[in-house]
Amino acid sequence: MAEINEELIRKVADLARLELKTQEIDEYVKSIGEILKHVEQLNEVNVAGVEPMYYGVDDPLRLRVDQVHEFGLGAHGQPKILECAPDVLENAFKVPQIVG
Amino acid sequence: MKNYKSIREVHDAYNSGETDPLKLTRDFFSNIHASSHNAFITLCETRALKQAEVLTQDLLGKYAKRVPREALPLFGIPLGIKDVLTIDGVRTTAGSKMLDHYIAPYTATAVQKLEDAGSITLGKMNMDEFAMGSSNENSAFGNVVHPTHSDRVPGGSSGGSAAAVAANLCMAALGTDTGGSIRLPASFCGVVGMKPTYGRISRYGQIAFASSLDQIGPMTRSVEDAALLSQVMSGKDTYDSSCSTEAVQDWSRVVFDTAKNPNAKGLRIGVPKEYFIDGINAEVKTAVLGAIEKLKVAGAEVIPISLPHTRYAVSTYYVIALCEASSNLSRFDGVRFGTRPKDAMESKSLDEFYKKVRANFGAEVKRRIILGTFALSSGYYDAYYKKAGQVRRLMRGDFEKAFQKVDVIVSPVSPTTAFKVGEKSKNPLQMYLTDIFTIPASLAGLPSMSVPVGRDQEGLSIGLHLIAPRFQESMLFKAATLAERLAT
Repeated sequence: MAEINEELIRKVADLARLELKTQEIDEYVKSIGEILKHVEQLNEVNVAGVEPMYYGVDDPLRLRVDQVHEFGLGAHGQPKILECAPDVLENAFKVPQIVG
Repeated sequence: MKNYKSIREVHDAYNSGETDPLKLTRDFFSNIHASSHNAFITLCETRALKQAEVLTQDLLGKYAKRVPREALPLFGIPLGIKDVLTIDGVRTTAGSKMLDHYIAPYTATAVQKLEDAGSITLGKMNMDEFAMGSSNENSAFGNVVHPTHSDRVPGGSSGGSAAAVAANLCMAALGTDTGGSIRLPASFCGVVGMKPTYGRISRYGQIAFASSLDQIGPMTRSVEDAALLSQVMSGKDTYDSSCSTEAVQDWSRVVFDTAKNPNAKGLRIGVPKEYFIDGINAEVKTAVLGAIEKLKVAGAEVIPISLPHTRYAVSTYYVIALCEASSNLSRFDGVRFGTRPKDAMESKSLDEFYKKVRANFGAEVKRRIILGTFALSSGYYDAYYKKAGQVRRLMRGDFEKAFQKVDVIVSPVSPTTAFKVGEKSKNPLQMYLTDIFTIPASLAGLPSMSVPVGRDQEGLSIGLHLIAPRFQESMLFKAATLAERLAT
């Protein structure tokens, strides 16, 4: 299986949008390496023709009527969903400039 | 204050006038303020006292001093809610700095059902961050202290819930269980803990860790209370398409009837040889085998079985759960919710912004996100995620085969009793291996529970683990009641 080294950890951390310090990378190389070495035992299992089980339910996903439920306004008269926002400008979530 | 043994006892005390919801709620808050267990992250004192006051007025007024047990089965019962479950207007942190200031705008279906049945919410329970841990040493809000032995871990991730029930800080609590996070702390703290069949209880309002495994469940002082809470919470929910339409039985009735005349005749108990390996603590083995023997003496048939893929449980789980977690935790980007560091707005790019926000995750959470992302990434998906999914199906097949011969499967909950604080926290793999007996039932989506059956020489609790077939909670609760009455 894969060799767990600094380059791999950095690459994967980047995919997950995580910034890691050098000592964190060293620690993860070690601990993740150990865990994946243990996981290698799955190679012993004969899985020929076995359908993977990804879901907890057997039934296909149930559908329902697409009915809009108004979430409503919060205590200060703005959309309630904005109440848990870290930063708000008028009726929008505020983020740094991304484009341009 | 009195240490009530069950919800039934509390209701009797309400009926006799010995106490009332307001007095009991105040007593619990007294205990909580005096405790050093760090079991709660947020207390809902104002909200709870208001709930208790209304219920007390109703008890004395419209209910004429008789608790309406039929209509409101949890009337006036003070509960703790694991902080991974949302309550409208209440701070919900999932044990993480990422949600330190998050006030949830909606209530989890399971919690709503409990409150609609008359319960009082005392507060939000401490837990391992994002439900990732087996010892409650991963909380951003400090460790939870074991209810009786302060040098030991209470187990995790529902450590706060377990400790609080054991230390008389609430009548019962909700935990969540993905690979053992209800059953393990229940065993370590000496309380009853139950994980329902996957799909019994809606996950709406449960902050997701691994969506094909996560389940909410009760942590209680008695099997009857676990049955009652499960019954109230179970049932289909429009807001969770993985929540089953399977009918909910009267499980508290099953427990009540079984307890009235405990008779183990006809019960076929499966004992899997793979769960009694070297490495199990001798006292744990003795206590569990002793409990099985007592059930045998009471008429149960003990049948040796094999679950051949057991040894792959930890590997299978830690690939699948972590892959799912890496996806579920990608929503924490600081845009719509979450803690934004002060300099986040100065970011020159969205990536930089995300990285600054996601620095709020603790070490174990980051480790799991990295592992999960890796196992799903191009070139590794088949070798890890798909392979684990295939082994998972084989493990489920092991159980289906075994349940053709037996009604319930029993084992230890964990190879040891509560271990020392710091003993495994430096070695993630060792920590993961504590879940070896609880994980298989999670992977297969089976109902399972931990019932305390003894203590070791240090006085630490030992739990008996029981597993029943999918949607056979009636069988599970029947067997658990027999264990509680005959095998402790």
